[in-house]
Amino acid sequence: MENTTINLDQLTRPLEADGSLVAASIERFNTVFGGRWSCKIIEHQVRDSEVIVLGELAAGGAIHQQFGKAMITFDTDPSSTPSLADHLAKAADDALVRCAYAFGIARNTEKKQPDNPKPQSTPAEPPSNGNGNGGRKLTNRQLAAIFGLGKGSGKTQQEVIGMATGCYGREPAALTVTEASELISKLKNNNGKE
Amino acid sequence: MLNHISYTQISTYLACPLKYSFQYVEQVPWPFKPEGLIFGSAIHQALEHYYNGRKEGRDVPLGEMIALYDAAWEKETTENAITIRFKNGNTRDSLFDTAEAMLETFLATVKPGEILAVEQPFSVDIMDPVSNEKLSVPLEGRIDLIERIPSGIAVIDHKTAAKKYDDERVANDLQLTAYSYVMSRQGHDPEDITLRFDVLMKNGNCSFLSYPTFRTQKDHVRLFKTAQSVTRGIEAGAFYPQKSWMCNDCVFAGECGKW
Repeated sequence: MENTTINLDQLTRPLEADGSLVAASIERFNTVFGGRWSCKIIEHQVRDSEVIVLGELAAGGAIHQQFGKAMITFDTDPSSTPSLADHLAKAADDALVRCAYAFGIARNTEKKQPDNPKPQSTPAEPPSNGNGNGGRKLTNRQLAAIFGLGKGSGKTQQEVIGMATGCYGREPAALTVTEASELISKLKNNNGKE
Repeated sequence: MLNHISYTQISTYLACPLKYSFQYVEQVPWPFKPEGLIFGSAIHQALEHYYNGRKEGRDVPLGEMIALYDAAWEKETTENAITIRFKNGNTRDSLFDTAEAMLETFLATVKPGEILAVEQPFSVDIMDPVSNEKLSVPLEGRIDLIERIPSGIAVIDHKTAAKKYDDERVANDLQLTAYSYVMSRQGHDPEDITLRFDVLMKNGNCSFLSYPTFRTQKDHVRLFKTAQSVTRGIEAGAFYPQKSWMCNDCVFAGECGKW
């Protein structure tokens, strides 16, 4: 894969939340890399309740591999045989989107902020520190865990936010994966009594 | 042997005594989880986070609510690793989009009063308010939300639904009757308590609807008699199938067929 100069801003601009993330990701890669990118499935496994694939996306001299999965589901009749091809395709789509995330593009969940009369806190974007996944924005599970652990230890949401801003200068929603992980450890280890 | 009874137990027994047995007596593992249950629970967690924030006077952003919703799904699909049964061509992604629109509507519409309690647990004796006869087990559960409103106190249960509620359901729903009874045990006159279903609609414009109602002492007598009959049925082992429209989506359809 040849190295090319790419427009990072163009690549990492958030995807619109409407519509298919797969289609939006493909369109984004076509826009940024033209035809000079590829995606393939390295391997796949079919388990009792899910199929798993390992996908690889190569573009602009970088390669990212991510697992993708699809739960085996039944529409209405549990005795009917689900289509393996459909589930593999779904898992491949999942892997592609995860790879796209690894390249720095993500769903824009802030797009649909309503014209809310109430003031909404707008956390600052986390800094891009170039240290791999740890520099990416925290995951939803991490955010839920931060508030959940805080609540479990008797902290108010404001106190949890205070911990995050005290340690990192940003609200929990604006932390990186690494920062969120550290904060979760603190909440666990100190049982919220910091 | 019962050590308590909840609204969910009562309603499950009333809907199908055999389902009650599979769920609570035999504790048969679920072969799958309906999407609606996970969806409703995930929305519930997002709303709980919102109201906990409001209780502190905080404006909870949409992004946080969506994160809580998504994390609840993630927990089901990874930690619990249960098969999810989707309906009507839905997928986790399509439901995410629906949830996002619903929560957005909720934030734009909701006008909360003063938040007094969120997810308030309770355990109260069940007594006939007229005869003072008492059941051997307490009524236990959680109230989603208690607010102070201009007319007094509102006790609220959150729902997600595809269809609007009809007046009869709102007027007779046993869950709201149970909440009214719990509040009366804490010294409130039932007719001073506003009971409310706050319903986030899944379809169309994702509206957020409130259905206020109230209960009287007569309703509490009826709740007592219902709970008494149900507990007697459970303790006597009276478990039999009750065929209804709900059988199509029942998680125990397979077990029921073998019964």
